[in-house]
Amino acid sequence: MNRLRLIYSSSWAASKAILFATIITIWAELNAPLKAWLKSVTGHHWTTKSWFTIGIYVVLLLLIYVLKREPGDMQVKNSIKWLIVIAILGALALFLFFTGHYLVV
Amino acid sequence: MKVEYMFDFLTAKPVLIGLHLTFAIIGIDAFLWLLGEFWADVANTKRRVWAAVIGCVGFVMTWIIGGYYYVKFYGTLVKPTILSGTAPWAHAIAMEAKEHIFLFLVPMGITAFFVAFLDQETIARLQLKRPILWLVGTIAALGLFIGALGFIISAAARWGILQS
Repeated sequence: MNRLRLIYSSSWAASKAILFATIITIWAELNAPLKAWLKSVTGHHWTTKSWFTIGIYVVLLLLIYVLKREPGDMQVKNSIKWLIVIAILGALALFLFFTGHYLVV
Repeated sequence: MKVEYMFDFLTAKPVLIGLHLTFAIIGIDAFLWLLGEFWADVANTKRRVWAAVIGCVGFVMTWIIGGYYYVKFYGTLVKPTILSGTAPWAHAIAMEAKEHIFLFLVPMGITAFFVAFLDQETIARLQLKRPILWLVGTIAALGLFIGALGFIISAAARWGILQS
């Protein structure tokens, strides 16, 4: 297996999975039918988000690995950088959203 | 019969919390160890891979055990106590943020596991040391932040019980 190709694929797959987890969480807090639907899938909205997040990561990891045969050196480096940026911003967004949501509602 | 007792023991609430915390600490410590390996430019790839494997296993185990406790007991037993106590924000902010930010850690941890296989020559050629340190450091920092949120939640539940 090509290690750099794997790192590139995993970094982008993780970025997208984190983006998904952040967006679906905030969206579901603001949209009761969506939260109810998430709950209906597995019995708990968090369990559904967990499965979807890991599912998106695995599917994208495989897909990007198959589609992107030879990522350049800079592309590998940038994929890791974007993962760090998205993870920090995602964590901040969730923390600030729940703080604001508590203070306002 | 013995298997039943074992299951009852492992799914007892204090044991679940203890295991959840233990595996979380193992996960965080392993990624701090991995951070040290990269920081010191240690050429031993095998040791790095082991650190990443232990970190990922720790996070997956704490996810499963903590998730079981959260879904089965937290909503019905702990959440009402916190909400009726002096710090309802511990659920509304700390728990909500904790349970969702945690979802980031396993995909990030697996990425760090793939990175752990890189040899020093490739890391130097691609100038990857800095982004790798940031990646592994962010995993450990998010783990510690989630741990601090968990402490706040536990303290809020204890004070909620004392005051009810």
